[in-house]
Amino acid sequence: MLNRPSIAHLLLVGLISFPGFSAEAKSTHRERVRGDLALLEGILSDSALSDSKRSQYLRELIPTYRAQIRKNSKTLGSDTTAMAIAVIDATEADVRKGDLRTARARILAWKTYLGASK
Amino acid sequence: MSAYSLFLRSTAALALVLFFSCDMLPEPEEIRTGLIGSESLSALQRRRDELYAWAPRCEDGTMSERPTECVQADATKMNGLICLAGTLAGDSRAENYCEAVRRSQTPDGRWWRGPSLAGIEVEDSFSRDMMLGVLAYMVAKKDKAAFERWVAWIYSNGNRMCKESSNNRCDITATSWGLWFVVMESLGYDVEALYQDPNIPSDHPYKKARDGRYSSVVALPGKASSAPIGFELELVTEGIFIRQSAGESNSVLQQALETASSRQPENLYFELLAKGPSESLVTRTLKACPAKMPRNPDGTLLVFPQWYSWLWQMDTAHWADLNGVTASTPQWFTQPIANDDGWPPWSHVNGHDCIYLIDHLLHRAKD
Repeated sequence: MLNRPSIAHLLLVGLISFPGFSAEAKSTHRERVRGDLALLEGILSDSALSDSKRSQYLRELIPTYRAQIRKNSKTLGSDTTAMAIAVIDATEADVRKGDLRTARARILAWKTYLGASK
Repeated sequence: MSAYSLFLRSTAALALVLFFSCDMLPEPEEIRTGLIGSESLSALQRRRDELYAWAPRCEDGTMSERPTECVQADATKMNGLICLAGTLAGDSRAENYCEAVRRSQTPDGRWWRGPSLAGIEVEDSFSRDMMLGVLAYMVAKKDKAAFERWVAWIYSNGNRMCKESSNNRCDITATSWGLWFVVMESLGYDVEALYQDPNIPSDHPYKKARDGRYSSVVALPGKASSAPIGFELELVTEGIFIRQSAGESNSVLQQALETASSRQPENLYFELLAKGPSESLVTRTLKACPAKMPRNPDGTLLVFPQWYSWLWQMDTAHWADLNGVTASTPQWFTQPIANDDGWPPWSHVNGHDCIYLIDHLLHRAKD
């Protein structure tokens, strides 16, 4: 599971990720990240889907997320990018092992961390 | 206060904001992905006025795809998309396009290719392309009553959107059902509740839409990679535009748009969707979209293939082949081909396609 980041860590993230990027870029990206997490969580929580279908969808989506995170690394900041990639890699490993419960918990933890939950 | 102290305080404040929630950051009123200066905005508005003056129309005032005769073969698609883009841009003239979509539906709920074709039973009287226009209209106008009538007719017709078709164009695919799901949510339907309702048959459009919810979005990057350049790739991007306008936002949509744009970099519409507005894009739009109706050197009206019906769905190489020229430059849309025949470089727009692009530009550049 993802550990709650320390204040020192957040200081670093704040330093790296915020100055120099427009509110528009951050807002657009934030909307997208919320959408990504909602989609992943929705798939992992959808009782109408079989486990194999959920795994298939996640396997198809994860490379897209990884590519987009890397592409937006300047807006995100290098620390947040590294953390996001780590979450995605770990989720991919969960899916490969068939452990969808852990994958869902991981996505929820990341969502909480990013403050995207309402 | 020393610079060092200011730095420390600023850093601490940033950290606190981050710690509590990204949502606590002030939201800008409008998301902008690029910037256009006020002069460019004015130039675009003027050009849109000029386009409204020459874009061909039928006698009843609704759009025609060609200047030589009233053609509405794909009108419902174009009308619906311009209805949505124009509504988002705040242009009241877009209502003409919205009204044309309304008039393309007959009282039984069925939708047709255009207002002049409504009620005329022929093979291929509708298609999934036209469906995009109807769904775009729904997002713009929230016409739930018309949607209900359409759903009832489609269900009574075995979930097909026309009676006779030359191929599967009237079938609603899994990807299309997923788009329905997004549009239904934007219309205020509780699709999950409908899905759970045991009184609604499992093959009803409401439940089919829910079935396609995830498969449709997962498939988008692959479709953007594999759809042939031309109308098929353009349809992928139009579906994404409708999804975004209905409130969907995620990396999958963005990735698909970037893929489409990278495969046809000369397509101004794809570039706008993928990268947002820019001064460079405005310049190229003004080049591609002429102030006056393009004509032959002797003043006569252009005909297909010199006259094209919707620039953003052009298979560039195929069109060039039809005209006996070679298309190889990445700026082909705005600086096309050596025009040995005297064709002006923008002879392939129909006017409405340019109104659509400018509506998009103005909407996305809003403060």
